[in-house]
Amino acid sequence: MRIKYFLIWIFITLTFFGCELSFEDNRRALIVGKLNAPQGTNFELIPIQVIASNSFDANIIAQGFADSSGNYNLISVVPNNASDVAVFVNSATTGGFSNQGFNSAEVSGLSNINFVDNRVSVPDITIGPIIPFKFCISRAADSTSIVEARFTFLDNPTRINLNGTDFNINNNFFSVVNFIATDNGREEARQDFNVIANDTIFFDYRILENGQIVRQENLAIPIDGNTRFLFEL
Amino acid sequence: MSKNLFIVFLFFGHLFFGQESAKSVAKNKTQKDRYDYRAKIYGELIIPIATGDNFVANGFDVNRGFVIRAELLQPKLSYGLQYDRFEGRPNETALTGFIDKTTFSHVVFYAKYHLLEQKDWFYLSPRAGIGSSTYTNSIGSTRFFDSGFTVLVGLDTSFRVSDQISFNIGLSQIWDFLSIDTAQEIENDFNTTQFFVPSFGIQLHLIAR
Repeated sequence: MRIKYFLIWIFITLTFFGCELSFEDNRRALIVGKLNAPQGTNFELIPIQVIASNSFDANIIAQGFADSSGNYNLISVVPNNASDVAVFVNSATTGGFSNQGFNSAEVSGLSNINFVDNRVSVPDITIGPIIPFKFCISRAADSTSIVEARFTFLDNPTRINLNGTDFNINNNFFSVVNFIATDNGREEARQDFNVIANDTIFFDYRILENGQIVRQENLAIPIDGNTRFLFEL
Repeated sequence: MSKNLFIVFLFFGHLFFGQESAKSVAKNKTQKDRYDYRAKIYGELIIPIATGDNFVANGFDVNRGFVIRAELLQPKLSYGLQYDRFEGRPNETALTGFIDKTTFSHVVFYAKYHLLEQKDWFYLSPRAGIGSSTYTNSIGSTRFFDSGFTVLVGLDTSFRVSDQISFNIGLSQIWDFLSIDTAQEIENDFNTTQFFVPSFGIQLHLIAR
């Protein structure tokens, strides 16, 4: 019986150590890429991290900043057993949205095979300054209908910052439930989030009564400096 | 690493074998001869300074370390083996890769020429040697290694304060020719590193003739 437990222990130990990320001796790689952003952006303040991971472990393997033109050259250690290598720009781990008012972006899928010749070329990454966006839906105070809404973007970013939290857009409608009575006899639901400047936001909403859609609309809203929107239903 | 240990083993084996034969000879020596010694052990504090244009000089804060040396003395020319070790932490990870810390170590076999042989209380001795270097890089609990070939030149001064003990002050320059495989654009940063190494410590005189 003891031998059985011993063998199980050995198996678990070897499995654990076998899964930990390891790195190649006598080797470094150069990770090169470019950030695109509106003119005047101070790239030197936007952090870039390269993270290698497998199913059990993840490690930063390179970290730094772009130069004033947005080009970056980061020297990296080379992982032996990573299933994915990804570049994160201005990610939550390095300050995220709170860092210089820029959105975050990432490029994943840079697997080990890209370390051939010790050079990894990363596709260009586009970032932009984020601006606060305030959205208000107003309806009659006695309304019992259900309001559902969703937001999508022309450039199809995968995430926005919703009420201070990184929010993944999944193209699903969500129920607007937080209506609050106002002085003018109506009630309002407010939604604050950050969007990338010069983007276009699509606002879909639909009103359901007794499970049936009684009204729906799809609005394209250019984000051109106007950051407060009111929709009266 | 095993190569380094083998060299150390060979050297110390020879040193202690030599000690036995020297002791038997020492019985017949005069009082003056007590001041001539066959072997020395050094323990020194080193303050390495990374120099040149390379990834260590540009991307690391290098800390103090130590060196242990064993030396067999001849009238004009001595030879010895040294092991040194010191740590560094990256201050610019974009230039080094994301590493928590690196431990630099060298094993060097050297020869040393005594310029002022006639003075038994003061030695001025240039030395030169070759050996191997190992950089142990740590990322969390994971380690990986960089290695290479080492060339050392230096100058030792020592002041004998008793039969058994001397103080030593030295300067040396170490070149590490590393075997790091990397992209063509940054090969020059990783090919060679240099350290200027002031050192001071004590010598223990082991064997009287």
